[in-house]
Amino acid sequence: MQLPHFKYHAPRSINTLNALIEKMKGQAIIMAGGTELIPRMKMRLIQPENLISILKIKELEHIKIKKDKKIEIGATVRIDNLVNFFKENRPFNAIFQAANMVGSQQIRNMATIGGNILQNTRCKYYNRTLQWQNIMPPCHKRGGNICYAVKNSKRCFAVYQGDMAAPLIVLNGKGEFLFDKNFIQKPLEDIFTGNGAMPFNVGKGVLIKFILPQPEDGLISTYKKYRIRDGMDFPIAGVAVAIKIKNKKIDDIKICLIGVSSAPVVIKDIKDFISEKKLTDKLIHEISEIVYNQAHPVENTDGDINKRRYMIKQMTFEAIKELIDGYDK
Amino acid sequence: MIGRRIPRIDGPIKATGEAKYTTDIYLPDMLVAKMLRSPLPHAKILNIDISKAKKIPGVKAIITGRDAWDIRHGFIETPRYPADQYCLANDRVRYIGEEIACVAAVDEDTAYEAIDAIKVTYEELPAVFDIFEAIKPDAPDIHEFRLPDLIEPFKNVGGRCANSFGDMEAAFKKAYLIREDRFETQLRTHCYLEPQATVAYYDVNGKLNVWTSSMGVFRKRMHLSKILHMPLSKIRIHKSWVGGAFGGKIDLFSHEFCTSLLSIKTGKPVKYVAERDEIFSYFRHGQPMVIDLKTLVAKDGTILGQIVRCYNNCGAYRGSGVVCIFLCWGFIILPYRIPTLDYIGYSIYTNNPVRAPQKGHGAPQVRFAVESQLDIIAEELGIDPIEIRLKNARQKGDILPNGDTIKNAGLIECIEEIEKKTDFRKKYSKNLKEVKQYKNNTRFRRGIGIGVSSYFTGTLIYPHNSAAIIKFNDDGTVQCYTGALDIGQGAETILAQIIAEELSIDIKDIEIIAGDTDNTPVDIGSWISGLTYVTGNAVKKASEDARKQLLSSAAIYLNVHMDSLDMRDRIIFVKDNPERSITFSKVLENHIRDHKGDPIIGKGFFRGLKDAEHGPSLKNAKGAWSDSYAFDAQVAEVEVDMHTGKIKVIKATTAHDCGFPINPLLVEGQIDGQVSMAAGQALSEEIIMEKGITLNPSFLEYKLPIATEMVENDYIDIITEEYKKGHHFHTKEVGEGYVSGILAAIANAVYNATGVRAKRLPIRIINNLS
Ligand SMILES: Cc1cc2nc3c(=O)[nH]c(=O)nc-3n(C[C@H](O)[C@H](O)[C@H](O)COP(=O)(O)OP(=O)(O)OC[C@H]3O[C@@H](n4cnc5c(N)ncnc54)[C@H](O)[C@@H]3O)c2cc1C
Ligand code: SF4
Repeated sequence: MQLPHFKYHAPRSINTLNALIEKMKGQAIIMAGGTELIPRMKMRLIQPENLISILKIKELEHIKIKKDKKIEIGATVRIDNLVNFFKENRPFNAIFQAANMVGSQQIRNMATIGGNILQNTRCKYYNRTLQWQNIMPPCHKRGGNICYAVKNSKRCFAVYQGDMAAPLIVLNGKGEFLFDKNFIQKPLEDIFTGNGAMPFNVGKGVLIKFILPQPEDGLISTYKKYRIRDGMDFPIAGVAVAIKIKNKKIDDIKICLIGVSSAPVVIKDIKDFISEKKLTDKLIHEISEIVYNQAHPVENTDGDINKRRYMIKQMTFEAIKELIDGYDK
Repeated sequence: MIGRRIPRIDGPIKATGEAKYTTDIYLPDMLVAKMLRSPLPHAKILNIDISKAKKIPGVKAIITGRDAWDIRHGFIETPRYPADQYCLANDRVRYIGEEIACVAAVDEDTAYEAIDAIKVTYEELPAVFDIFEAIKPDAPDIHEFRLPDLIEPFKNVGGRCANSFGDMEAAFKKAYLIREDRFETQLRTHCYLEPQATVAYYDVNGKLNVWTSSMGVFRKRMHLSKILHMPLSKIRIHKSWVGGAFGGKIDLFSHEFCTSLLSIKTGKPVKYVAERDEIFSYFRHGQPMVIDLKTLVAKDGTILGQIVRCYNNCGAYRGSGVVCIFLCWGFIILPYRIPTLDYIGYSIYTNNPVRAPQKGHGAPQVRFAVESQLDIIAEELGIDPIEIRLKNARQKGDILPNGDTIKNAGLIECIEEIEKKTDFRKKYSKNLKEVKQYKNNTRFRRGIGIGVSSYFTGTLIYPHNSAAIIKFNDDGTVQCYTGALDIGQGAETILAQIIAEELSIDIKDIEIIAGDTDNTPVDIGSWISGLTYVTGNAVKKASEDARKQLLSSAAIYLNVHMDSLDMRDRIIFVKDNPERSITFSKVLENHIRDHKGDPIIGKGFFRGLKDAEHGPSLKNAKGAWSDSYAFDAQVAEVEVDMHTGKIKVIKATTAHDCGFPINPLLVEGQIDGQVSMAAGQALSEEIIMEKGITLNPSFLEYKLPIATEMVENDYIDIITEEYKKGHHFHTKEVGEGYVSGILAAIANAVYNATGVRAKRLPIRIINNLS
């Protein structure tokens, strides 16, 4: 399978990047590690005339801890670097866990955090070669008006499977985007549309970096991933949990699911539910049940949907239990 | 040399990337071929318009069914089962992906552009995908073909194999327990890493030169000659290394025909390399099967009789489906004594891609069913899995219902030894007891299970035999000419070991020249589990012949009787007085001088089943099948996470009677490969299809186990044969038999751990999680 023809650009600074984007009037596609984009190009799901690689822009490839203890992660920091950076980092353990399970070692060496967050939604009826697609009339995501995964659906349910989004969201990460020479920060959970066909609302903006707030005392986090094999596979269900413990009680909790919807699912009403309650297994079961009720996977990726939903409950329970049991140690 | 753990002689060129596979072959001016495939599962082709495509600059030739004569091909071509498939669809397509046209162009983009420009008009026909829908009276007819002796009111039966013996009525009367179950195995594929690929070049002398990723060059040549209307002598299949096949590359494939014809038409070399998603979606996979199994047993667990119905979904053409349903019969009657049998296997046409052999070819399906059911029966009778197997195991001297004799059988020892080594009985009953006492609170549960299998060692099917030539260089080093194709199993290493043993020389002094229809003698091929036995014996005889000639010549120069001579490291010496010696080199020089230029050439040949005219009947399973049968008992130990349903095979132990292991390292390599394949079949692999469309056509979505999921293996050798100088040897197969017992063992171990009995593969325990 060969790539379609395209022009390749590799600017070395944000200024030249800006100039290029302007010149191409928004017709260019940004490429980072290429591990997600290149397969889509080979499948002719996207055929950009111009490809701008941002890997040569040095400013984008650093992780920095700022004076105010905020952490800044450049958009092209490799997933493998995140694994090393966040190893044995209790508050940010979720980032380590998620990064460590992205694809395979080869993928992690190439893949960037920016590309991971901005990876397209996936579907077993969509991520296919042109020859395969020719067999079936186009669905919503390919400009048609049917859906194969959810019969009679008026919209696309392609699933968002970026592992890294879940931990960054529960840790209240923000993304800094470059829109027409302006740098704009947005909480990560706000960049998703929830529409499988057009998953992001950041348009042609270039992701520059992520900003993680200073970890508060008592912050602990983890990430659980369900996949069929021990490696290679995308999350077919994923749960990130961040908890703030204060006086042996959960002071704050944020849970985000991945792989069960067209966008990360931030669990609603959970903080109020636990307020002032005693931390028992029963409570964790109840939390897991709430989470379960907000997960609605559809049949468009690996595995059985009931099992994926079940695993959300199971992993939520395990994640919270592990965090709390581990806290005192 | 024999029986030694010699590393593969092709290791260095493969590890360094020097080995040339078909995809690595580039000839000057080579064209790229791409295939137009049917988008419909069943349709009449009303018209194919190639006029626009032909005009695209860079398109050199386009062929359709009209260029392909009216010749069909089949895995099996007999009066009962005539060939049923065109290389390019003629007037009808019967599955999504069926080949309609093939384009040769200057590059891939141009070839695809032309493919898109071909306009085909279809009249869509109703399609059927499920076997039990396909046999119904109102199902669409996929072929006009009717089996003359079909008694059932079934439609779309592509093949039927029936065999029965013994007194079933009496068995029913005697039976203490009758157990009936349905087992289903999934659609799985081979996952050869090297894609299907062919380069064809029709040269100015009118010779068609072909490099193709295959399992046997002589079989490919036979098929191509028939389908291309060309004499065998005008086709040469060259050797190229093969990156795995596992049964999936023995048939003739459309692209092999198309590249050949396109090269004939253009006079240029033409190359086709299948895309991975084409392989997953449209190429031949293994055979998914439904098995209805009724077993009658006495109170002590002795099997009294079995009634078996196998329903094989063979896809839109016959493929190897009719062979598979014969083999299923064989795998029923093999490892255990079955005194009474009523067997019918059906191979049923559906509008799915065609099916091929896949490692075991029926054995994994049948053994999964029988071994699972045997455990159910044992538990109902209150006897343990070891005892019930020992009670029924075949033994040396048994005569199979077709008349074949079990010359040597180590099955009883395999079962006994594996029990000891794995502490089976103790672990099994402990786990079983625990499962019954669990109150759903133990997260990780352990289980142990056993499975038994047996496999044949080659049979008669074209080209039936192997031959070999041994010739010497002036310095006494050896070249062996053999048609054998090393597809990764180590064929060349084994053959070199045999030569080294017979001529008492170092393996480094041997060069194997292999797998070329023009330059090497005929060979049976790397399939039907016969290569080491058939080709190995041919090479052994060629080496013996060369040895004898060398010795008798040396005897003259050393002035002794040849019986008093021996040889080592290219030197022939007098046994009692090793000082008196002569080098191979000198013997050869003298021999040429004194025998009118005869350089000493050893010749050997071998054909199994020497008293049989042909292989067994696919209709009724009568007739000789194989010279010898390998046996094994395998134990799997699993751990099941009751919270997630994740099953892990922690350890697999294989006790094998593979006759005589010529190279134990390669035997273990074969076992490792088969155990990992079985684990994949048991736990994760499945081609998922919806109305003829494959929904997981990639290595990302087809869940082949990855490196970190490989199973730890242990081995027990039960050696029943000898390698003797001067006799042909009776080694048994190791290439296919060890994928089946362990598959069943995993299913049985999961039951032992959880109480969940898998009747369908891959095993899922989702409904029983705690
Ligand atoms: C076999 C395989 C397994 C995989 N497994 C996983 C997995 O388990 N989990 C997982 O999350 N992902 C997985 N992936 C997907 C992918 O590899 C990762 O998500 C990876 O992090 C993507 O990063 P990249 O730098 O390669 O992105 P690219 O391919 O370069 O880009 C991805 C997308 O983001 C856009 N983009 C990238 N950077 C920017 C930027 N700075 N600004 C604006 N747009 C940008 C690109 O235009 C493109 O649309 C897998 C991929 C493969 C091939
Ligand atoms: S969810 Fe439906 S519309 Fe979206 S890609 Fe899949 S099949 Fe197409």
